Amino acid sequence: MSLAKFWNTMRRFRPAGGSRLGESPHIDTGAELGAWAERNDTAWQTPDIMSAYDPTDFDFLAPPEASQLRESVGEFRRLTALLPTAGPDAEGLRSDARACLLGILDQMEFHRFGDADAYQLGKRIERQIAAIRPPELAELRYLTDEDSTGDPALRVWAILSIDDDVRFRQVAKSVREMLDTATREITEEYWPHIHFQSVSEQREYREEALAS
Amino acid sequence: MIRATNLLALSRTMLTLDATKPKQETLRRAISTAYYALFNLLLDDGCRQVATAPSLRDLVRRGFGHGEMKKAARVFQGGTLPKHVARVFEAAKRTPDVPAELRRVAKAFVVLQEARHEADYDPTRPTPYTRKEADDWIALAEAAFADWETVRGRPLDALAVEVFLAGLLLWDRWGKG
Repeated sequence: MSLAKFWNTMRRFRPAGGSRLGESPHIDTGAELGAWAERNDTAWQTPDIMSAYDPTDFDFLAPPEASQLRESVGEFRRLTALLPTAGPDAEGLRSDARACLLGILDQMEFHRFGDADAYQLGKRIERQIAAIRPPELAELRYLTDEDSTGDPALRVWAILSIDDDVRFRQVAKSVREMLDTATREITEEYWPHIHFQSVSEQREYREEALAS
Repeated sequence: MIRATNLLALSRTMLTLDATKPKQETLRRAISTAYYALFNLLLDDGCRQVATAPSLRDLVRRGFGHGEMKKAARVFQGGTLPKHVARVFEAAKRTPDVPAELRRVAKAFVVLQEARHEADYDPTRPTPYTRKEADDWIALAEAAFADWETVRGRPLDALAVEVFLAGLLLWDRWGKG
């Protein structure tokens, strides 16, 4: 099975909002499943939606993350397989399965990764830079794409929690170098295009967008 | 006559046009201008290398294309030159090393070109431009100007600069060697 297939299946269940990379606030998926899942309430209540999951597709995750995903998928499969014959216990099982699914969606971080390749590359990059990542680097978001001349591109948005212009410029320079090096070590296919924004600017634009 | 340094200064001035929150159009133009500053800097030296007569330089200028320049820059950024290009260095009894400053200039050119394309042609970009983002692109162009000044003034790197400038103009026609 492929990571992309699993990714795309899970994406159908993601919560409404927070789906547009770059402008979305961090959505707390603990609240609701996405609109599609709500409309098709029984569609998610089957182990089949995890059929594309293969633990070997996730060897790029840090071991605790990979293990958490494997356990959540396993538990979801177990719970939903019991549903058809659960009788009066069905509601409790359904609620537990839903919690499992929400946990899996949370791990996919759709607000940070635009697609399956971006997820894989981004996770690898983050493991690579973990030891040297500056504390001011608040968040990274990724999207694979083609650049203006048709070459594969990895677009990275680096969000820094710095307001001072001079400091911002210094940290942006070192983060650019760090991300550039990490990307090149991980993939020869994608050219990194790195954009910088600040947390406060993001917040400002988001509030403006919500108000309009 | 387009002065690359004026364009670079203009890109920074644009960031100060709106006192509080810059307009998206201003930020987009500032980023685009930063790219064009670097583009013109390389074109000026590229034309000067090929022609001495000013009118001929104007003609040579038309021969440079963004896409071809990007292809060449991507290779120089990586630092490993293809055999047919490396042979130029070997013939001059030099190792085909791309100096660090030149690699940074090449890299800045590639990413700024993409940033410019996005700024000029992508109204559906998922996130609005911010002043800090535009400032970062301009800072990258400024750093590239400084690196170019350094590498261009170092006699030891004259051949690398010469090959780079020629590559910007002729990369596609050189083929794969």
